Amino acid sequence: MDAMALLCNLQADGPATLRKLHKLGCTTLDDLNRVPVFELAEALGSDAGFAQRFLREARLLRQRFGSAAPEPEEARVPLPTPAEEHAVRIDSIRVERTRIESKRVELTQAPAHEPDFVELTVREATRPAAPPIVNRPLKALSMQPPGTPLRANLVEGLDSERCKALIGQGILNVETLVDAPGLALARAIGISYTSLLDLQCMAKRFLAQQGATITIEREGASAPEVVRTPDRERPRTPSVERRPESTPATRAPALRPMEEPDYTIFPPRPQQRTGAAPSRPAPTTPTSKREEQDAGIGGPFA
Amino acid sequence: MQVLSLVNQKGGCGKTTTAVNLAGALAEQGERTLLVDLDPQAHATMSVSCAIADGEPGITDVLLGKTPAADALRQVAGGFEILPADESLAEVEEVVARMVRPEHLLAQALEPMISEYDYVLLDCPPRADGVLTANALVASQTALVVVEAGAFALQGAIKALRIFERMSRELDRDFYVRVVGTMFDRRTRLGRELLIGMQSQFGDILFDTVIHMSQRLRETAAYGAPVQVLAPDSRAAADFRELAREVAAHARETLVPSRAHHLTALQAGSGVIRDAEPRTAARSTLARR
Repeated sequence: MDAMALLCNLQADGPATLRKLHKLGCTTLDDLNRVPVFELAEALGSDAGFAQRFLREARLLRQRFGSAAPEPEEARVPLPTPAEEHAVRIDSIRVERTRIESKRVELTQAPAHEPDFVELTVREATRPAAPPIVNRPLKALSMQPPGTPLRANLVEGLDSERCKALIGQGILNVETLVDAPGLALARAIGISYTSLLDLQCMAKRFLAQQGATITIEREGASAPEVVRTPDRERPRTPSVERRPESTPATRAPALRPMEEPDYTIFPPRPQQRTGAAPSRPAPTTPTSKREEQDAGIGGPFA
Repeated sequence: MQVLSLVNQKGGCGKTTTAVNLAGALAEQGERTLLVDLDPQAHATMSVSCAIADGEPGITDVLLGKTPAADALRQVAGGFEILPADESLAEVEEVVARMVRPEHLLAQALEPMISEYDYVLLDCPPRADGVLTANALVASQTALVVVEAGAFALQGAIKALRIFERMSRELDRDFYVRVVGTMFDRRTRLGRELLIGMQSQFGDILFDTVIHMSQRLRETAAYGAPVQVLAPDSRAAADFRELAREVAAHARETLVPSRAHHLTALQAGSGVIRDAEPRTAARSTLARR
């Protein structure tokens, strides 16, 4: 039983998996280390998470077995000395200069095919000349997505391997990690769901600590601008610091006495005497037959 | 034709289970297979429901020369044949001790009929230095050491290999040594560590196939048939199919055994004389303890 068979017995179903790996061209742990995850998953007929775990166990087993087979002699290429590096750089510059010079000569010696006259529209004729191109530094284009980019050991539990796996799944910054769907991502990168939750929790904490005070350097501003993030993004840890002693200068001003309300818009109702029963309106004497009927006085039974 | 003895110094490591189900797997692949029960406990005989009734011939009679081996054969479920044993086999050791060259009795008894089979499996008692095991080793080309993935199994296997080396010298008999792991449970950390330890100890002579712990295998002994008959789609049946494939490959490679090959195997890859210093750098935590 070699190391590959041992790995297949420890992590999979033994010789059947070993045959699949041999079909893929992997006969040693070193060969297996070079296989991409998706290719291994396809060969084993499993998902990417299993393939990733399998590769991780292969790496661990390889570390446990010690160093792998020594590199063949012909594969070893000695590192260039500084003098050789310098010579190579000078050569490349010389070659580039020669290429540019030959191109310039070609352009200058080429026959000019300018037309005798050029038809210009009014708009083109009256257009102001383009400003001369001057050498000014180009604004650096940042390809990095906004947010804090992921890197190893940025938060607790984010080692280089997990970092690579997350970046492989398109999680490029901490904010995306926090918002990522937990179960699917855990399966994709081959860690347990609880481990991912811990990682997301650590990432949230990191963001909270970072987000409490963000310093933005704006172009042209003399001092960096300090932006306070909303309270919900600040860390939830209760503050145990004692408040400073209140002094007359820092103490809040005393409350003023309540003023008399202004009744000019809504005049107050006339106050009733206390203890008196509310008076009923005096009955009115009906003046017509209809009114008598309405009052229940007249009618057929009257 | 390949004769394999399933041996180990330790009992309860799965020798009989491996013998019965490997015979079933080889027969399933179309090989003519004979299983010889050399254990006085007669568990292999009971595993295939072939208990000897009074007056019926068994391996004891064959070894003592009372009956030809062909007359004691039984056909069992699974498509292979068995030479059954009973408790009278325990007395054979005392009886044959007074004979000349007692370790050649089995080889001589099997000689007339052995060419009719592709594989002969000898299920040995849990003693590596007894007369019955010596008979098995003399008759066989390969000693298949059955090692369970347990705490003391590795030590037992190492002891057995030392005994084989000594017997090989004393009997002037060449045989190959291969190791098969049994009762492996990869869900436990201890099981995985033990397998790593076995791989570190035995290296290339350890078969790639490991027999996993299985409830089906326990049931087969009770029902009296190999797992290929009772549960052909089970994990255990698949394990034994893989093992049979490897045994067949080993048989193809070792058609003509020679002493030089044997010694090379012992010195280069068997781990027989290397128990103090593991062969590779992959020392398990168990080995370090």
